[in-house]
Amino acid sequence: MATAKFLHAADLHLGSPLKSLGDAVDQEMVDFIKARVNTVFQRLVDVAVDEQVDFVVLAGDIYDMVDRDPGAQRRFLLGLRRLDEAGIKVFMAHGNHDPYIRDIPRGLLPGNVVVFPPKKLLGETVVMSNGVEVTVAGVSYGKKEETDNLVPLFANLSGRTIVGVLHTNVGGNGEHDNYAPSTVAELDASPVNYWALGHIHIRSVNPTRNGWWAYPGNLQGRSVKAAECGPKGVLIVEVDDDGSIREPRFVECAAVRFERLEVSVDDIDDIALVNDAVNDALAAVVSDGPGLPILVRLELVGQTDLTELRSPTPESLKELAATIREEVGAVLGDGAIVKVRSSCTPRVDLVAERSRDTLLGNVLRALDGIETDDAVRDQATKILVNALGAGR
Amino acid sequence: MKQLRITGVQGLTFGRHDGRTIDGFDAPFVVVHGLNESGKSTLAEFLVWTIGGPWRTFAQNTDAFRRSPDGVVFGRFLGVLDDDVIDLDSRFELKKAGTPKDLRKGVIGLHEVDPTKFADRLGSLTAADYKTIYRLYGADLGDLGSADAFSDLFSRFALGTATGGTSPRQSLDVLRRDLLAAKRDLSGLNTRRKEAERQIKEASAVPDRVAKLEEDERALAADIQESGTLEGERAVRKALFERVKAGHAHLESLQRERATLDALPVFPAAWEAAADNFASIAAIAGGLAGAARAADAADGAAVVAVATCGLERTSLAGQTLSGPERLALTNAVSSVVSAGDEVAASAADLDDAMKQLNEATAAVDDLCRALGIDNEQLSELDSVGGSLDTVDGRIQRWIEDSNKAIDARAELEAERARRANLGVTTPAQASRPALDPRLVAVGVVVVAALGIVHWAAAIVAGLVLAGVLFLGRKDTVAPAPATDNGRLAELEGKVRGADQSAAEHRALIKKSLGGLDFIVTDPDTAHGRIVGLKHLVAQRLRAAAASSLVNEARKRAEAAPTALLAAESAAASLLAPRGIPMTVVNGAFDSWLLDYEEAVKSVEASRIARDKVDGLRAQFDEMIVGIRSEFAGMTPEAIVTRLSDVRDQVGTRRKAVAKVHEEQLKVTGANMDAAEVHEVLAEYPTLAELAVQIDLLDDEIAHQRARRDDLISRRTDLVRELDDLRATEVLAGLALTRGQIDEDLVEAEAKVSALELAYDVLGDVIDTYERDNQDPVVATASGLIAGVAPEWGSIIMSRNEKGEPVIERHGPEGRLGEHVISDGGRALLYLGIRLAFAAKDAERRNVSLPIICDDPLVHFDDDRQLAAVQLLSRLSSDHQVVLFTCEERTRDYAASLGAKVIAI
Repeated sequence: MATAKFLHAADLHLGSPLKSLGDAVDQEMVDFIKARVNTVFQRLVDVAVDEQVDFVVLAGDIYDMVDRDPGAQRRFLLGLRRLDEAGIKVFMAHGNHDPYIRDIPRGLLPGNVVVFPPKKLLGETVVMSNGVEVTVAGVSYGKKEETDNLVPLFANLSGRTIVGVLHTNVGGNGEHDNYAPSTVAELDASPVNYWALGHIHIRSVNPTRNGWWAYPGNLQGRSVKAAECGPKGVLIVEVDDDGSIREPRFVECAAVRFERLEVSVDDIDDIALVNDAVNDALAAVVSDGPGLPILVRLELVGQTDLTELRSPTPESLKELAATIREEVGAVLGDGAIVKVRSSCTPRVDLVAERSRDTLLGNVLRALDGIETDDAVRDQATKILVNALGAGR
Repeated sequence: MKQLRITGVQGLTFGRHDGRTIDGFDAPFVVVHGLNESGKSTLAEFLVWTIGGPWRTFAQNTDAFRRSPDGVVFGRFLGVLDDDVIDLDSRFELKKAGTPKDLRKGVIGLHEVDPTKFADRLGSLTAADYKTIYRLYGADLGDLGSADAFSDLFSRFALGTATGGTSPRQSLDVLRRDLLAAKRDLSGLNTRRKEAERQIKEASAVPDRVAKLEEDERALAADIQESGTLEGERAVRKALFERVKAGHAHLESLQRERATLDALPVFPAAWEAAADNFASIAAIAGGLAGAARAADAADGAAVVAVATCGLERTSLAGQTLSGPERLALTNAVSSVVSAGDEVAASAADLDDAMKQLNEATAAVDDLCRALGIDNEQLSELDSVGGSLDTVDGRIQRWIEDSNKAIDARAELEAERARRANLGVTTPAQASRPALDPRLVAVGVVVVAALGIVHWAAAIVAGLVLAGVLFLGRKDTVAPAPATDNGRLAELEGKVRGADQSAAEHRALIKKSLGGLDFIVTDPDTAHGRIVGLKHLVAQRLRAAAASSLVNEARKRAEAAPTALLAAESAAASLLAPRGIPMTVVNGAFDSWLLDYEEAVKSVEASRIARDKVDGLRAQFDEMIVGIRSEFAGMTPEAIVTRLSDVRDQVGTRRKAVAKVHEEQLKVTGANMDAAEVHEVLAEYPTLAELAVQIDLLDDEIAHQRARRDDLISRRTDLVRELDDLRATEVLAGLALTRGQIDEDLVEAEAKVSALELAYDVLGDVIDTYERDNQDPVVATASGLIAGVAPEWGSIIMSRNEKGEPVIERHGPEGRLGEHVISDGGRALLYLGIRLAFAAKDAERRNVSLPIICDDPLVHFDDDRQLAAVQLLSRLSSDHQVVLFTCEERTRDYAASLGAKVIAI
């Protein structure tokens, strides 16, 4: 059974692939990371060429902003040219970050690039290397706040294998703006065999009645925010010669990887031993990684008698971070700890304390009775346990 | 629970109590009564210090103890702690600053204690605790500010925290400050985010900005070019106007210069030529005058010089006297003089030579005669003359041998005589005279020396010597040997030997003298004769020399006149052509020759000077040849003066001509004949109008230049901005900054939310907890007060918004805040609370400490005073109460309730 492949990527955010590099990375490191992430589209092109895909789908937010960065434009253009030279077609949709209203001059785009227009669906048939005809259809945002559901535009498509390209928020993901909102049911009901979606930065692959709907996630993690951490890259989609589409395969393209790492200090009774625990945890992360530079948000958690960890001042936390950073070079290589936080509390049995008629017990019970965000409650609890717990 | 009770104080050394001992404290309730200024407060303070430790600093009125003589407050404190007796030397050293030094020392039961151990026995009692809880001071109880002091007490006791621990209220305050700081951070982040947004918005516009800037840049470039073109056009126009203006001025100048020229006189060419040569003419004229003066001077000098040398000037004309000529003249005259001198000298020399010859000849004749030598024999002298010295030596030896023979003979004769006397025949011996050889030698040397000087002197000396020797000879007689016959024979042999030797020498002398041997006849005269012979030889030589001199002198005398004539002839041949008479030929010729030379030179100089005058005159005439007739009868100086005027006028005219020419050139250079010039002149015919137009054009040019400079500057800035924009990827960096701010904002917002929640919850819980857990104190206080004033009501304590304790009386009038309670009521309230705290504190320490009350009832009305005394009386079952008061009524009432009264 011969298969042909295409590459599905989205949310490249070229020009501004990073959102945050923490609060303690020096300029040299920033420059290094920026230089690396500037190669991320090059990596996508490398994957496309290596995988010998027949076409590439870019499902919106190729640029980070409506107005692009000149350098990013140039790198993007060079990548498109390489794909053109490799005979790989490119289908491009614009999302909320780079709506169609402005783009790089069309005349500059190589002939292999198809840009989906706004408001109306454009479809084009590609004959794959295995002879399968695949219809690639998509639509771009005509404005940043695209609030219309665009899925219905795909309802009348016909063909054996249809790839729908769309920048959309499926199911109203609260982490992202609810642009071009759609539902799983709508996707499932459509004739599209593979929904090449963009907008949500967390990768997800989901089956439909006719095939799959998938977010490849963004091409490059942008910060230590949870949704930006972990492997980032593209999906390689294989089309069998009968036109059916296999479950997409993830290929990491990111130039650096962001990770969140919590290190427990429950068993640590000396501040000097914190580094050991951190180094061990970092080593585990690195060993699981792909060899990319890893940028870590480190949070020390747990219960401790160490005041330095329970109630650090900004200055003492900065010193602690510096001490930790002194040793992590050997473990992280080109990576770095970009942020250090401590949310440790005194050694208090909160369950038992809640049942006591102490001030802290009253406080905990009072907190339990307040309706608020869990994260806020947890943080307030830590604050109060730190304030009262040590003096019980 | 243990109880500490005071039993007495002894040996006090402070204040009014110096030396006092006060017993009688050994009772649960003690009233110390005294008038004002009786030392009650001081004693009360002493008891407080003794039990709790000193707390006052100097500034807090420690000075009340100052009357202690050595700055030390001392008293022996006696008391009991349950069954243990307390005997404490309570000593406090007052200091200028700070708390008094605590020197307490003593025993509790069997244990020695110092301040620390004493405090430990009282449940780690501190001075602050004892003073705050057990010292009831009237003024404090009536002071509204006392409520503040209760704040800390309530927190400690009500919330169950230990003394010195962190108050939950303090934690709450820390949370409050943290919250404020977090809000400030959040606000700062929001501000930064707005700024980042602004920058991003600005940077987002970069492509448009670039396009706009590029368009502006092109427009500016076009404007710059246009401005340059306009400026160029204006500059060309201005140049034309300036040329026209200049040409216009040149035309006017030309006309002026021509008028000037026309007004000047015109001179013929000969005059102009003379004017052109004025400098040369003037120079020649000047030279001519000088040359004439020099010629006159030379003439005068020549006349004098000619006269000095005694010649005629005419004969000197044209003469020269070069070095060789001068030398020839000098030599010729010198030859004449020398030749004359030779004539005279040769005649004199001949005379001298003749005289010498005659003298020598006479000497020879004399000597010949003396020696007996004739002329023929003289010829022999020539052959032996050279051997006379040898002969002289042989004569000497001959003389000696002869003398020896004489001596031997004399000796022989003497011997013979002796023999004869003895009868022995003795042959007689003749003695011979002898010369002293030393004398002879000296004489010869003298003669020889004189011979060197003069041959005649030598001859004379020789004769004198011969005489002296002859006269000075002496006879020597040899003593006759007188021996035996052998001796006689010996002597005879000696005589024979001497004779033989003498004979041999005589023979040699003869051989040497040859034909002149006759000269020598005997030894005694031989020497003199030989000397004479030597003189003769010398005189003959002298005569021969003189003869030579005569011959030579004669020859010179014969030749000198001829040479003189020749010299005179030669000199004449030189002098005559110069007109010089021979009279000047003498020894003074050299001096004369100098005069002559001067005369020759002067005459020649005069001639040269005159020639120069003539030459200059000719030149002068030549220079003015064309106009010479104009100067008839004028001296060269006058001619020069005249020509000077002409020269000036010719020069002025020529300058005018040149100026005209120059102006003409300018007019031509201004191209005043060009059509554009005519156009300009037609429109702006005057210089003033032209100047105005030029100024206007200047303004326009300056304006265009300024405009272009401004445009260029703007374009430069714009291009720089463009370059910066093209070179910088600002958006990514700004987005990154914003992202980081966003991340910080999320954290900051969460922190603020959490802190707000924590703060609110903790505040609420503390309030509730305080309220719910204040019963032991407040209830006790309420109970205490109710016991003595049932109508007063109960005490409620809450907190205001600042967390400060709020004491309220809940009585018949409802809840009343402390600020609306009467002073007496408030004092009772505070007394009740304070006593409640004392009970609570005793419970915690497990020690009941004495309550020291220093007139706490001053603010109480009569009823309240009685109630308060009752309250204290009741409390004295648990704590010893020591009440200091000046009120007799209080004292008496307390006494009626069982209090022990101490009067001071």
